[in-house]
Amino acid sequence: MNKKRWISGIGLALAAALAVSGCGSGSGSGGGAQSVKVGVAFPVSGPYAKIGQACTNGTEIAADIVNDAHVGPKIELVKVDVPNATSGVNEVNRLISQQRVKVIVGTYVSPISMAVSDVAERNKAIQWEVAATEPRLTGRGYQYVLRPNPNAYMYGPASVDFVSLVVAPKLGLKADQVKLALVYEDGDYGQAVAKSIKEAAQKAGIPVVADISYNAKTTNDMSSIILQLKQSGADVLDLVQYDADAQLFWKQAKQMGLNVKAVIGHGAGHNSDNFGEVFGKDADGVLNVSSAMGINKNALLPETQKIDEEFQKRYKEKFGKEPDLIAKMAFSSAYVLFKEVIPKAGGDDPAKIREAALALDLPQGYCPTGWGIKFDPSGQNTRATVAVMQWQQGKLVTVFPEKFQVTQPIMIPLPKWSER
Amino acid sequence: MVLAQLIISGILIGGVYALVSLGLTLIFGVMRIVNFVHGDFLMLAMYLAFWAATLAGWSPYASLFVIAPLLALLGAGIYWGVLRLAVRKSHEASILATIGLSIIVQNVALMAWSADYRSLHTDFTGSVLEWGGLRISVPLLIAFLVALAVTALVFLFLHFTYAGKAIRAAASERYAAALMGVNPQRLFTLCFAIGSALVGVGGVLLAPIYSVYPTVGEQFLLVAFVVVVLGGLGSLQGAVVGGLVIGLVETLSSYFIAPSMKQLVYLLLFIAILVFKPSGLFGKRVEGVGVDE
Repeated sequence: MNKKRWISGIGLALAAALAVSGCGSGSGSGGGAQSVKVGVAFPVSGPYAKIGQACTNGTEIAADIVNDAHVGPKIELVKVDVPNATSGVNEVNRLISQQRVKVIVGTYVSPISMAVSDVAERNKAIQWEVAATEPRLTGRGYQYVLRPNPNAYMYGPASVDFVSLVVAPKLGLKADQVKLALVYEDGDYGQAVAKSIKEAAQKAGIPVVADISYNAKTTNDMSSIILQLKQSGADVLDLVQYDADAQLFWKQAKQMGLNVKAVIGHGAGHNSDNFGEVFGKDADGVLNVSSAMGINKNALLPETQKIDEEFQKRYKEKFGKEPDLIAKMAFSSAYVLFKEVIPKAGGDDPAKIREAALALDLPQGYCPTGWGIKFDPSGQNTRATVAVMQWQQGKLVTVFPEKFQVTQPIMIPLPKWSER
Repeated sequence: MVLAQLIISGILIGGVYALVSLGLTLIFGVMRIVNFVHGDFLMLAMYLAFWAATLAGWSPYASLFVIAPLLALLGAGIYWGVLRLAVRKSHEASILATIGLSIIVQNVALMAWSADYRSLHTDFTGSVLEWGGLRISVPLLIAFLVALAVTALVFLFLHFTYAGKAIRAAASERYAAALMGVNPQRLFTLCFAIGSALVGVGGVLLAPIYSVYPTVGEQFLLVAFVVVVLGGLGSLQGAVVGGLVIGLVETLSSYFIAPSMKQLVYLLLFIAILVFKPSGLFGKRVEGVGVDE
């Protein structure tokens, strides 16, 4: 008797759970689903945890804002941890097969995203990227991978433009007289960005005098790299580094007295808030090419300015600290999905989401990072603008292009360490 | 001039590797425990030094004397509470136990201190000795000198105290040592505590040099295993010489060949040395492994 009741209790609970999850995912096909489950897959433990946490936080705020505005189906986030490619594949498979999730926001790390996109494509689920730059992610003819953020090939031209239009004149040189040195981590991210810088430099006639790559996970000493740079006589130093290696490099650059006239990072390590926190005034003058952080308000649409303020406020309230650039990128990307795409698709049907995304035509300045949205058929956003920022008094502010500029670039040429 | 600077840099980073490997050579070399939690103890010590400096304003060279004993206690506790039970079972059991501990320690650090990359950056951490165009980083130099001093101290301990002699006896002939009345488990707890204190010293001295984050230990663990095997299991001199060899090879090969090739070069050298001297540079052949009561 007792046992029977117990079993029927379980049965009831199961039925209720099924009913809830059934209405939760809403199977999305019809117009006007009540709510939509969205998988959020970022590495929140392991070596990429720092940026993965920021991405998760940014995505959460985007869902909060959209849910409170009641513009479309309620967004329910299902968060998973994907510290490496293997767990990425497993977790995303589980999201799709067991949780019936059809839309996944993630993963920021290029190699993990590459692995996850295979799973998403095979299962006809959407992978909505926020920060991974690997060009192949959208370059393989996949239908269900969409990337609002810039890919690696967009970094080189922006970076080289800045060197020829701003740095060279300030140094009193012609563009083709500026000697450029490249130091980059030898993973997908470093290599792809470095390749695009080299191609752009070649087009602009800027000579590359040093081309040095290293493994970010096994390099504990940068002094031989710094000595090579000293020998190269470079004027401008282009860096593509993650956090720990960027900090080690800059620390040792100071110790060994590496003096160049401009230092330009390209995302990751140099736009992390940790870089400013650790180095304080020693970070000042370091430039960074990436999506825009401290951007000129006038470059944003009026409603975007409001959304940006709301984002900053809520982020601080919920997580107790200011968002950094990567959180803002994740927010911008997820916001487009939650606010523009899912309501227009009327749910989470992947084919409709792709259709709705490709139909978007939003002007530059729509996103708090300055991006507009216009996807090409490969799934890459063609209006993902890249800006040049600079660390000034411990803050990352946009200095180029002029439209986005908050303030003028300073410290070009960079003073010698002995004179700082 | 460049060559001289490269050699100096190589020796200094070699000192860092030696410092990280000293504790491991005791634990891995003497007790034959493949200790994956070693790197995470390094991380804990770095965090403790970081917080002591940031919150209380303690110089790492002062907090050293608090943090190393703390790590020793932690090491003893973990050995007595967890590993003692695992080493009785089998070699694999102790490997899995240390991997599990490593995951726990890393994630506790992640929850407690977040994944931020923190780093001490003061006038002192950036200070250098300049000498005819050569530059020597002061924190690295101190780490190197302490590595040498600690090696000498532990060497004296192992050769001139009863406990030290007992550790060496148990390392070379476990059963005979037990028959002579040496209590292996008590000895191994002591050994694990000393090994943990040594990595504590290493972590504190690395805090002014490297960024601290929950997985920083992984950055040093592989190279520490290489140094320990290269130098000879259980040999302190071996750990120092092995560290210097790896440091020099790494620095020179990344300048003259390519930075991304340096690991290839030192691992090739490692294989070559093991082919000609399988027990490592300073190692003696040891028969019989496995910890029993």
